[in-house]
Amino acid sequence: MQILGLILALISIGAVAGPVAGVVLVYQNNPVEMIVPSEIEALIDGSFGADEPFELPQYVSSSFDPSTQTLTATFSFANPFEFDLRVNSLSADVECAIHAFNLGHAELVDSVPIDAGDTAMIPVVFKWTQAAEDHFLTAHSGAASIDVELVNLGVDVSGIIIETPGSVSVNVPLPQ
Amino acid sequence: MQAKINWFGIAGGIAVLLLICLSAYFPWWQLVVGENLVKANVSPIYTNFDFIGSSFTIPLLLALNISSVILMTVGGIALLIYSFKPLASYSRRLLSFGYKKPLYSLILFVVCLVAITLVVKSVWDLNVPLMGSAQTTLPSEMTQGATVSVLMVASFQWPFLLAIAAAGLCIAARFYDKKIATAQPA
Repeated sequence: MQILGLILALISIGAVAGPVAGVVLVYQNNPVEMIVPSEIEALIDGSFGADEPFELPQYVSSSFDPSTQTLTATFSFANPFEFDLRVNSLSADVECAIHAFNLGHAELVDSVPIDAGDTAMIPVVFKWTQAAEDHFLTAHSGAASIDVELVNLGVDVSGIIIETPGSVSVNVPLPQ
Repeated sequence: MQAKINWFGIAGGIAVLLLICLSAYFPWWQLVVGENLVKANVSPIYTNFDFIGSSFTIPLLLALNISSVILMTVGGIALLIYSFKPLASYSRRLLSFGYKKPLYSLILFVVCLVAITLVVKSVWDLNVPLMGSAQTTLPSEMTQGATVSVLMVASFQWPFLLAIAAAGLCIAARFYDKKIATAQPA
């Protein structure tokens, strides 16, 4: 029975030492990769393993519909991953660029799916509030257009909520 | 003379071998970040990570998983051999080797899981839940000035319960062995 005990002890030692020694041998030139593979390095350095850099939605253009008094700002969002994403929400506070007066809140109407490697246009809608109209009449009387800032930009991409300190400037024609 | 068989040992051995097969496909513990953007599928048998569509594993963890597969397989087989002939001269050694393996795997798994969540919390200030969900804000050095928060949902999966059951059966086999030994005529 001594032999059986010896065999079992050797199995115990070999089962642990064998695979670990094998991995150490394979990664002897780069031992860090044994614990931190390249995928985790990509996560830490911010590239997230995509061929192209991951960027927040970029402002493209805006349009204003005087009949409904609705401003639509369009953002483009590129999905650099081999994985379908969904923009669940995109919102921003709208402020007068000169007076920092809060004109209201802009947001995405419906969620937008973005296929792997694709780029989608995301419309963000802002309807003038009564307070905004009052501000135009009192502070921008006679002006043909107004510069507004989209601040406190927030985007929810597949459950990841990103809030950026940056702002987007948009020139909007005023109803005459 | 009635043949003595340790039924708990047979059940435990089968449960251990079944657990090894199933754990290759189903994790014991799973962490999901966002809407399946990141998934950590963790078990002592197989651990892998899905990160935005690409799957990878950590080489050292893979080595330890292989060790665990070998030890638990040998342990399960040893327990089965013992169970059919519990009174043989070599059986006590097989039992002693086999019944501990699932229990050790279970304890080490839980201890490592708790340790890893604590290390992640202390090093990166990320609150990774062991069970349930948590909204966590990523460190600013990882997010280039933006505030990035993610919902993490963690849960123990049904193979973890099977592992508890297997460990329980193996311990029961150890106790039942005493009963078999005392029932043996002098």
